[in-house]
Amino acid sequence: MLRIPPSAVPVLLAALVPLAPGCSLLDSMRGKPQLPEKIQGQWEVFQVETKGEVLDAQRVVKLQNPHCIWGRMTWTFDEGHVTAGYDVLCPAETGEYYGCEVSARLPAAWDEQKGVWHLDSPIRARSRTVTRAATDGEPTATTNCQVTLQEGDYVVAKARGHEWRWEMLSPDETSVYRLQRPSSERPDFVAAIHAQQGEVQ
Amino acid sequence: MSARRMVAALGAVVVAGLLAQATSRAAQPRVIEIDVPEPTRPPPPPPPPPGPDGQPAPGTVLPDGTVVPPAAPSRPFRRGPREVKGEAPTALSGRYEVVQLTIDGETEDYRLKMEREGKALDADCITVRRVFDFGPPGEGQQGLPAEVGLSEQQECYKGGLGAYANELWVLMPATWSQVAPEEGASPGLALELPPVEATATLVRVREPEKEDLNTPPHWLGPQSKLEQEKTRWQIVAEPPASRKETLPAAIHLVGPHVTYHLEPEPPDGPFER
Repeated sequence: MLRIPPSAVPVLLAALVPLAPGCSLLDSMRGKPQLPEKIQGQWEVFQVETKGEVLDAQRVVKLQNPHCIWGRMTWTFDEGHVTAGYDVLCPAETGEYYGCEVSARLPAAWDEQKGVWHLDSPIRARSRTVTRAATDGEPTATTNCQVTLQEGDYVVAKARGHEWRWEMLSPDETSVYRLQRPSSERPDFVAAIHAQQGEVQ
Repeated sequence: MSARRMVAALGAVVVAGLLAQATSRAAQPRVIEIDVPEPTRPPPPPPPPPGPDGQPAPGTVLPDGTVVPPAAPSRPFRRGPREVKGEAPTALSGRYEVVQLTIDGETEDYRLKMEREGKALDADCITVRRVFDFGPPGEGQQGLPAEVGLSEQQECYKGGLGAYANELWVLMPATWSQVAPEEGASPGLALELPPVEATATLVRVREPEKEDLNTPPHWLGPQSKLEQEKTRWQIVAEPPASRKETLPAAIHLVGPHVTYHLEPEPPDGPFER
């Protein structure tokens, strides 16, 4: 029979139990609560849960921009700032598309006890463009995209064992955003068009 | 001397003279004049068809080194110094654009400054307008809006995208407070805006042919960026230009580093309001 000396128990537990950042095994054994993990880097919304309904992020973007064929919402958390991004791809003239990208960035503070990013003030940012015809200067294409950051606490939690990585609750507690790593830092409009053509076929 | 000898001597003299003449002629270089026409330069290529405001048309491929001037301004430049005069407003509304700014006592036309900076950086976009939007009248508490909009408009030219106008706009909360009055003066009004940052980019993509998996042509425009540090402005408003007018003729935003001089935005922009 294998006998484990009492002095070796913490070492074995340390090897078996993954530690949360900011919390040692001894802290866990002494009953100290584990601090929430801090989300960092760029993330893409792939699902939005609102009023008990779960919607694909693409569907949400298309509901907000009915004339557009593709879009994405991103959130970036870096040291002392939160950035919200909104990108859409919309048809213009025959055989042409225009992509509209906009982002808003605000100072934010991470509350390590609550596991929330806190924003002191809200912001709404909008980008509009007008391209003009060569001959008469009349507008040929327009783009319009906007993004909103609410003030207050964004509760962010890591969802282990699920297909998504993180969940974020909006400050007004009306929406839960499910986040995953984006396929690319900048929106890949070309891939979006190819995907759209594949859907049509 | 016999006659034969005299004839022979004369002949020798004549032959020697002819030989000397021939030798001297042979020593002179022969000059052949040929009319060569002056080299003609190829005619310059025709200028690209003009687009709006004299700009090249969208999609025009310009020769290397071509300088595209920015769109002509719709209002005259102001070069004179600007005095901050007026008093603290009791209500604010409407859209006001920055026409001048004063830094360290030096006043400069906003458009001239932006144009110079854009050219110095060889930028594809030139900022032509910066607008503070105080909203419709009667909004907010005591006539002062709870939110203030800030927008920058640019005129851009980029190969593949052509000429286009861009507007980046942010809406942020406004905090109003009273400024302690200086001796003998009425109390002032201060506006505080939070630090914000916004970016925008335009992309054009040509639709690929069906079943063509190659990357279709696409063009990425320059990124527009609007930055506003946390700033507390003292607001000074000039009285309306006439009795019929109700809005201030000009508004001065006096900040710690820069003073903006604002006037009502003319309704000549390319964007709907």
